[in-house]
Amino acid sequence: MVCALLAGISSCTGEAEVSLDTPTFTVPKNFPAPAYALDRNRITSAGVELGRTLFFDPKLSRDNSISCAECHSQPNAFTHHGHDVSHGIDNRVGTRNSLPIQNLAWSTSFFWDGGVLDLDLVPVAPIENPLEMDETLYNVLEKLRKDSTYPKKFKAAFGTEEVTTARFLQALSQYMLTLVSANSRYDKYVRNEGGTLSADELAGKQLFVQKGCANCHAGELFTDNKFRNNGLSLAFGTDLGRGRITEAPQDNYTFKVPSLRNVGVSYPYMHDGRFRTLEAVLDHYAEGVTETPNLDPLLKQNGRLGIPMTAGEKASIIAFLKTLTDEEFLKNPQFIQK
Amino acid sequence: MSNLFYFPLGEETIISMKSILSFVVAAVLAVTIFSCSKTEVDSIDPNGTGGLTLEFDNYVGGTNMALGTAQYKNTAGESFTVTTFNYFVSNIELTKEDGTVVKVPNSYYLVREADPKSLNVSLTGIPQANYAKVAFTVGVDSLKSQAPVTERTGGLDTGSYGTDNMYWSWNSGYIFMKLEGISPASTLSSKAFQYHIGGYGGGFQGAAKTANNLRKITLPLGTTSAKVRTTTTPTVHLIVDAARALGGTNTISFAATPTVHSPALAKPIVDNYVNMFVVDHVHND
Amino acid sequence: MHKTSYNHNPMKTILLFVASILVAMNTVAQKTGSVEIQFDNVVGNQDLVLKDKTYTNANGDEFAVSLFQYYVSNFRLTRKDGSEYVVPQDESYFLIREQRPETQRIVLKNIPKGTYVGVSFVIGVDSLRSASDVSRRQGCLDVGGEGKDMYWAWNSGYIFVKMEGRSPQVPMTGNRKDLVFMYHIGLFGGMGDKKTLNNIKAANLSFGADKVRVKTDDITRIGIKTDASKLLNGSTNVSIAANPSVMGGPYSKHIADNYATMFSYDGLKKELPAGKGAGVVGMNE
Ligand code: HEC
Ligand code: HEC
Repeated sequence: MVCALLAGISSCTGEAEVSLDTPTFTVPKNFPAPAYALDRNRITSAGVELGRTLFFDPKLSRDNSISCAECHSQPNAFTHHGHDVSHGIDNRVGTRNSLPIQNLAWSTSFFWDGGVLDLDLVPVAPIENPLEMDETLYNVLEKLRKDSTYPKKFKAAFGTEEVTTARFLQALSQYMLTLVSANSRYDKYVRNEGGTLSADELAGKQLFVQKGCANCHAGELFTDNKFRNNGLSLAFGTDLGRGRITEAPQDNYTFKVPSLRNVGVSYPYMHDGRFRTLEAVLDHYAEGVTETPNLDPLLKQNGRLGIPMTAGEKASIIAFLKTLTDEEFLKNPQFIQK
Repeated sequence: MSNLFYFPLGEETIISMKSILSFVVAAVLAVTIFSCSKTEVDSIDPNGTGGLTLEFDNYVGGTNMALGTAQYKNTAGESFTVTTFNYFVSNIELTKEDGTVVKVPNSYYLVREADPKSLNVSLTGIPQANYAKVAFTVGVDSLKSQAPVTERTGGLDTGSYGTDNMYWSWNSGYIFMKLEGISPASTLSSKAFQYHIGGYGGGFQGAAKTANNLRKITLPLGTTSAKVRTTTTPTVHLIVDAARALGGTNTISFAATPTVHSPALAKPIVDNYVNMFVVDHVHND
Repeated sequence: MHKTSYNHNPMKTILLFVASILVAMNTVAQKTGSVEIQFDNVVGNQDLVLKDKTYTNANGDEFAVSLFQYYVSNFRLTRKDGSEYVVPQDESYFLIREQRPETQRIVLKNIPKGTYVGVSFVIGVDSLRSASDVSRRQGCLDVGGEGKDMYWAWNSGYIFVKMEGRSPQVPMTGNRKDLVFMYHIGLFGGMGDKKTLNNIKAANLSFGADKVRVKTDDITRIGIKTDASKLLNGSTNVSIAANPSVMGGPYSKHIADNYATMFSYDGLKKELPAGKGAGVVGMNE
């Protein structure tokens, strides 16, 4: 009962403190229902603000040098600009290309291999990865407890000054959940909000379906959230992907189908960042698909590897993909810590 | 901040004009101190030096370079793999925003795709400034090419290459750029292709002049200048597209020209590769 | 936005209040006591001494242990008639660490009075809790607190049993610079729609001829021996040379099959001398 009372009070203060400065979470009209259990971690403006402060705070790394935002930067849809694999603390080089932080409420698993199933548990991985932030969550919480401002922020968000694992993680989730990208020209077109697509872009939209891209990059999120092998050659490394997690040979070399929203600015591409341009990606599907173990059957139809496309078709598809760039999302000042 | 504003007024409790004034002075002081400490990070120590790193990130077209089995295509439509990609970068020059040119003394670097350490060229002792341009020579200048062996150290040490030779003993000149690989289009029985580009002009000890394939590359850094400071060591991230050595000005076909081993035949490739270096971005951290 | 309706209805409040008193009274009426379990970590028939003592496994490899810790959870006590008392799950997760004596005695509270013939528990963390949300990962399951070194962030699963040490058998190949072996065994069987190995094991221990009586407001103490050498000996005799480090991976199954047998009932115990296990949790409540 005391708990219930406290919960009531804290949610009241949470609501009373609505400031226009923090972003909110809403489900866009053309999106399905979120996968994240929002009732478990109710989003409040104080929670989002705390999460945002944490996301931009280098205290989360061992030597206070690198923040989440370092590898997830807004102009590049919260990916690591210009690096094929992310550079972490002491400039140590990671093994995987950074993923965008966008529309995470609709993801059913996280990381290229889907190793983590709950957004709340994601931040522990970069914090404790020796190639990324090389810190322990335990130490981070200790640093925050000793900080002069954080306990107050925790109080605003959760009712008391106590800094706990759950609160820390839930605040980061609250902020990340608000990073919704759904206002690209494409969205405004499908929602009849005055967005227009050129003839070439419309042709690309059609080809995207006809050529089978939409079988994997499905729906409004442009992913079916499944793990597939899209025929990347093993010449660049032998990351087992999903197989590393499930340890099942039939999952080797499969990776989470990435969303293609904001793909125009989130280069380089693929789990190892091997392609720097969308042209190189389309060339891959047209003629680079390699028969590796567990190649997705969609990419080997009638005995032919890959997806046949003319140069014109590739260009149209690229034109369409660029309509998924959401300038409002990439420039929203509420998403960054002042 | 708030502590700085707590200005002790002494015994006097009447707020005189003077104390108000001193309060204003204190406030202004506080603000200036504050802003000073903030800009300090960015200020240039005119006598100070710092570092700058050139990161050479090798690609083939839009695809990362991976030696061995990764498949690429040239502009002639022939598929190929790359087994070796090396080049010398020398005589590095940095141009400040005001146009002053800083020459990095004794700068000779061999960049080898097979050796990840060599892909980052770290320059030290660079005068602190904002730099707007970087320039370098692809290859080894004629002076150094004729220098006594004692001056050929580091990347210039001809004994350091092992099997990955970057030196022509027959004309005592360095190979400036080496691109080797395998292509089904190659007319050699091994299906290999080998492009060894060199030629500093020759004429050494009365020998005949050879083609001069030394080229200077000048790259403006774009909107972000490289800010060399005591605590900031900028990285200039360069994309080096090996496909541009094979296409662009002249289309090189593995079928027509599977090998180039002499300065005289190298010009078509040299005219291509002058365009293979592009600045992607500058990190100031 | 919607308002929470807690405590808005006075009738409801009163009802809740009465209900909670009834629950409280019921507990008293039920007559309960506590069971303390003292874990004694051993290696075969020798006491486990960290670092300084050398042991030999069934494969003939010498080894010393520097760290040994494991989760036990989901305790149940079996009565003579075969019925069971299930300890409420939230009070049923424990992390036993050799380095920390106070963790080696755990107290199960509110156990109904009666005679018990056995205890069973899970070695590790059950799959439901392994997949639960962060707010339910408290105490020794707090990945930013007590459980910080028993968690794999990359697949968000707990490490059930962790043993590290040194052995002259560890091969010094690859990047290895010391003779350290590491066995970090976890994997709870379910990653979304795909299944992984399931290394969760259950221990079922009979108290044999002992009558373990739980008396009202009293503490009954029993001992359990945990034989660390069982990680290496059993259905698979582990060669430290061949498997110096096992962290997940298919081989972890063999070690888990081995450790399923590492617990044995060790008789009724007396209260431990003060000092050993200062933090006897919740005993005075
Ligand atoms: C050194 C760079 C780096 C830092 C610092 C970093 N990340 Fe990441 N992040 C990555 C990389 C690389 C991946 C992809 C990793 C993988 O899939 O294995 C990733 C993936 C993610 C994902 C998964 C996205 C998805 O769609 O699956 C989330 C969420 C995330 N990071 C949040 C964070 C948070 C929160 C922090 C700070 C606590 C952080 N990151 C710090 C590089 C970084
Ligand atoms: C069989 C399923 C499948 C099909 C069909 C498919 N893709 Fe993909 N796509 C994937 C997977 C899986 C990845 C990630 C692979 C990796 O990194 O290992 C991916 C990655 C991409 C990426 C890189 C995104 C990023 O952020 O790194 C782009 C762009 C892309 N696909 C576009 C397309 C286009 C365009 C088509 C149609 C011509 C297409 N895909 C067809 C499964 C598919």
